[in-house]
Amino acid sequence: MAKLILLFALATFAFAQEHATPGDAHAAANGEPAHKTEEAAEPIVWGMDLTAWKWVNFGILMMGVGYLFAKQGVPFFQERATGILKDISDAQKTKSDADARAASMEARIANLGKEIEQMKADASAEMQSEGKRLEAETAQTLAKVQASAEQEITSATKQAKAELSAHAASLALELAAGRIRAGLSDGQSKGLVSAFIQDLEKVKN
Amino acid sequence: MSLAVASRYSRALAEVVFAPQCSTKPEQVIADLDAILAAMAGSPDLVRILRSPAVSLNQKRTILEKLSAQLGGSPVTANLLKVVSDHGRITILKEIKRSFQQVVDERHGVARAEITTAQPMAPEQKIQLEAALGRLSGKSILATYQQDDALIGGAVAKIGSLIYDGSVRGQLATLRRKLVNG
Repeated sequence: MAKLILLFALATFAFAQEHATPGDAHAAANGEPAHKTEEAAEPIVWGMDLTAWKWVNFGILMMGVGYLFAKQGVPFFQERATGILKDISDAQKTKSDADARAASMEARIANLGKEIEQMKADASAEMQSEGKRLEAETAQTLAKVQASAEQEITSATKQAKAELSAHAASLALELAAGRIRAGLSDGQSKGLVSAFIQDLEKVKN
Repeated sequence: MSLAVASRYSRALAEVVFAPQCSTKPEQVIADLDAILAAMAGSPDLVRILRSPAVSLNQKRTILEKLSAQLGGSPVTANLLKVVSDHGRITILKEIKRSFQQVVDERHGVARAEITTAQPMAPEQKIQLEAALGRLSGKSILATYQQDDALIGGAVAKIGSLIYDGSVRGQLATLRRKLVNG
């Protein structure tokens, strides 16, 4: 940008040179005001036509401008063109991505019905499978509970029988003890001790 | 636990008492220990002092020395009391005495029998029973007798951990087990 400004300044300077008259130049050289020279009817001619010089001057100016334009302007515009091309390329890429995404979404939306049907079918199959599994599990649990209950009943019956047997034995033996106690004479008591002594002798022998 | 500890003390005491140079007889030590135990049983304050950690060992020793002297205890017994007190084992003195009694009985070839009968025994039966138990144990029997009506009839003899049950109650119990177990 700074280069462009410089180029513009040079062009302005050249333009100013182009419109300055020789009187202005002479006045400027003598330090007098320029309007005094306007009193002369004709411009000062130094023996040759100045038009050619003007063209030469213009040509030099154009060459300078051309040089500056070639050196500074062309890369600038190339750079701008490259940037614009890159932006266009990026925009195209973004657009193609968006198009692809939109196409994918459309495809998915189109398959949504099928997917829903598939999901329904899967869920139905899973429910059936789960139902069968639960049924089998329940049957297994029932069998276990039944076996356990039968075992408990058997055990309780055995225990009840044992308790009943023990109670009956206790009652019978209490009765027997009472009768023995009531009917035991001194002689029989001594006889029991003697029998015990004889048993001890037998143990030794 | 206390029985094992008591056994260690009693065996150590027996080693001292049965040593050839010891003039104190085991029966004397047993009598001393019986007297000490009787004094302790009759004086809860004495037991409390002997057990108290607030009373110093020297004070306890002094008390036991005076007690032993008053009861006419032998020097061996006095020493035993000191050792037992110093180790905080005065509470198992009874077990020590019982264990020592067993050791003495073993060394003398004596077995103590506790005989229980439903009816008082005739003297000749006592002699026969002690003789039978003596033959059975291979030792001379020192029997103590007691009566228990719950036996109904017959007798029960206990020597150490062995029990010979010839009572009607025992036979009925055996019969009951057979009935219950089928």
